Amino acid sequence: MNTATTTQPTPHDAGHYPGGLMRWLTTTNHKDIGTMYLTFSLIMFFVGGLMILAVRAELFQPGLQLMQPEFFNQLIGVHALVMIFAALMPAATGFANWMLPLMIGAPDMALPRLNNWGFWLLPPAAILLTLPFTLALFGIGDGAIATGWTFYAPLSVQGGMGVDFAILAVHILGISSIMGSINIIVTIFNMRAPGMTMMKLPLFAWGWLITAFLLIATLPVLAGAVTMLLTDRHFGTHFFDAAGGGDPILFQHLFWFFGHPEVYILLLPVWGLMPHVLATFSRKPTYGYKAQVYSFIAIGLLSVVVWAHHFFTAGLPVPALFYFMFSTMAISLPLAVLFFCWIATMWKGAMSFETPMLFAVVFIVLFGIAGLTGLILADVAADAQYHHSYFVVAHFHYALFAGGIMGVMTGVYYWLPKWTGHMYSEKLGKLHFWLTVISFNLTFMPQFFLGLAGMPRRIPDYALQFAEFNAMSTVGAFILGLSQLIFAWNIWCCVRGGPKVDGRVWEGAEGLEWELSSPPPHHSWETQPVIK
Amino acid sequence: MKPGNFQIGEPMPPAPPSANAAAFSPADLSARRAASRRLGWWLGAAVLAIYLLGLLIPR
Amino acid sequence: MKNAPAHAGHGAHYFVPQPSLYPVILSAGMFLLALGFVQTMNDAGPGQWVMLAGAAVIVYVLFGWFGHVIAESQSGAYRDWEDRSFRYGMIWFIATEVMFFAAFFGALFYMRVISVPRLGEMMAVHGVTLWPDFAGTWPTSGPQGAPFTPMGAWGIPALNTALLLSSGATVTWAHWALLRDRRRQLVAGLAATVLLGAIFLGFQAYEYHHAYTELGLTMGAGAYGATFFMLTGFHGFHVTLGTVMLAVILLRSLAGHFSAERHFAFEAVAWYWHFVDVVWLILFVFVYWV
Repeated sequence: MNTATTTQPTPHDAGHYPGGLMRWLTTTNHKDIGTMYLTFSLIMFFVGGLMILAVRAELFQPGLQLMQPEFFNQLIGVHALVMIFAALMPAATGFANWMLPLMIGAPDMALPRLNNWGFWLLPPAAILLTLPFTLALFGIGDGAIATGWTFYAPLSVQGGMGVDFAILAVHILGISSIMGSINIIVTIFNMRAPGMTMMKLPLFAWGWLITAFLLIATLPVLAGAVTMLLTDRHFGTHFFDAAGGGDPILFQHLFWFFGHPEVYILLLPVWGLMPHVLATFSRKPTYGYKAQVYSFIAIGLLSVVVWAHHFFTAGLPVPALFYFMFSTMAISLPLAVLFFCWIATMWKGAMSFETPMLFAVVFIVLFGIAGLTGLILADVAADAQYHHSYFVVAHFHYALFAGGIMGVMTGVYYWLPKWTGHMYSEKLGKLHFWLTVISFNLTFMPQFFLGLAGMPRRIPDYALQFAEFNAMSTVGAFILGLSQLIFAWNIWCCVRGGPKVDGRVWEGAEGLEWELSSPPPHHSWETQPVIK
Repeated sequence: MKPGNFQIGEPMPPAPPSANAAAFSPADLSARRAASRRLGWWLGAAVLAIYLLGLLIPR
Repeated sequence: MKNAPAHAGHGAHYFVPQPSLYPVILSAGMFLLALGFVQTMNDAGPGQWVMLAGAAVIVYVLFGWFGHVIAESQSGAYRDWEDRSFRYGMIWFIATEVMFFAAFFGALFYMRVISVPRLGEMMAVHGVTLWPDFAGTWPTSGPQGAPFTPMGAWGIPALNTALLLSSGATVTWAHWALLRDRRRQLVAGLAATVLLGAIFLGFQAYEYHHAYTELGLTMGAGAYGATFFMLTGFHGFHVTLGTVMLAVILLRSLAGHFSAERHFAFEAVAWYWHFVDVVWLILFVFVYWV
């Protein structure tokens, strides 16, 4: 094997690696880049969290206490953009960067410099997104985007400088995600260990592969939509203006053509990760590998043809309503297959409940609630009542916090010993788990009832009868926010030190990633393993 | 070999069992298997009961 | 090795490049460009200068980064395994470009098939409308748009179609010559392709001038003007990029780069050029013709 190294014209490991800040600015190593993605994600998770805690504080009581409605609107919109584009998506990309080469037996990602660029586009975009808040303090502009994360025209056409900042930020974030996706697709197609056929690919890689295809198919459409918005704002076009023959609903179509698959973009990496965790702590092989792969593919295909269920009340023709209702409900079939496989993986397993397993089990329950309430919203007749109410807010937080963020926490606890070579504190992990689960439900369960009772979303004030549930929700949100400090502290301590772990961190862990040392060597699989 | 499962062809030094993971005796493991199986049946029965109960509620 | 490897023909080691500062600098340039753009649009500070600085940084990185890659390629660092990565990467990059154009074609079809006819039939269907005289036919600048003359298909646009189709043929000729190691034909084919692309752009610029000064066809000319200029404009931008890339490939061919076996950069640019070509054909049919 070593002969190949010596005959190679430019030996790939001959250089000196810079230290300090330059290491992170210039790195082409998938583990360094994965670490940067995950760190950035954690920071932005707290930034977005602080924004929404301010919102929840305002909603603690009816009436306006802390802020003006304009600032309230800015906070909820930027909270969503930050959490989706700067917290959840980078976390998933960080996982992919760290784990894909380890799992498929590759030395690194296929396009390492592109990989570095993909990460370093994120901080400028995050600055662009949040800069208008700072500028407004100095009297420049009127604050950040105040349309919510959906940029709906015509409000966004009329909005101030914050909308321009958000459009440009979304462009840059989009380029970053597209570069990341191309890299992941190429890595999975071209860097697998000899003998690892597609049907031997770890499910995490399958989940990310479908995610990457969805990003490639839909993010350019979002880029096109916000570009049209930009020209409508500044160059006199009439895409979203009926006076020129355009239509504001056109923006909703374009946005949700991206926006719905985005939900699966956020969730598919987590669905890919869950079977690994469940199988490890059940000490059993994953149940229904093929069924899960085909379900991923089916969900990926369905997700791009159901977008209009996000605006059933906008005035669509009845045949379109029926089509989008039934196609949306059809997604529950492959999703039910996934739930069945997750549960069947645990069935008759010798289970133990370390922190990642606790998160994984609770993920199944809470994400199940998200799925079932989604079916209610997919019903056209019922949606007329629930649309734009707190029911929707509760539904998608069960999907994206319990399904997305808590899925990411599962992955962090599961892989952190692999990354650092140290064990995290199981005691703190369990404390974090219980506080998160209880306070999450305290925050969002009342919002279902608020929505059913008719409280609209995105309004800083509300009628008196909503006061108790809102107060509960705010208390829950603050406990939820504060308990994440335990998470950050646990990670910090684990990175700094702790009991050493071996390559195979967990007793029941199977897969190539556990064959390497913890932490893995600089070039993960310098010699590719042969799979049979 | 089932899809999704694979073995590494070239022999590699087996990773030793981790000191950090809970090390269970065979008796422990089989007790846990029995427990998860029992719990599965109970949960299934509970779901079925809720479903049947729902049929009885007049709408 | 006991089993046949899944990817025959690559050595044991994949080329992982050395640490590089270019990606960070490129991101900084894009940040400046975006910041300057927002400033310019909102009259907040010296936006043009910030944009100019950003563009300068980006151009610097394009020279530096691509120069570095070309040097690596010439030193033989890339073999079949790396080559395959680049190919997959380029294919999926073009796929994203396809979806970008799909958004604008989607807007065009939505307006032509749904929003404009609906505006025209509001009086008949709902008995109420802001614009009772609006007929809802295409082309239109909308109920409140100024009158304009739509762009005819059989003048310059048809000529441009011929130009682009011939350029697709000449780039294929150059590829054919490269595969047979006929360097003079390679250079001639590439030069012809660059020239045809440049002529196309010249005609396009003339057409825009004509539209603005004589036809009253501007970006503000409602649904027709918006879709016309956004589709042809982004296409023209891609032709510009393609022409620049072809020119680089031409210069590299003159410098003796590329062999019959190893010429990924040539093929990537050729793919890109064919993609731009196909977009134009769809655009010619749906924007200019029908």
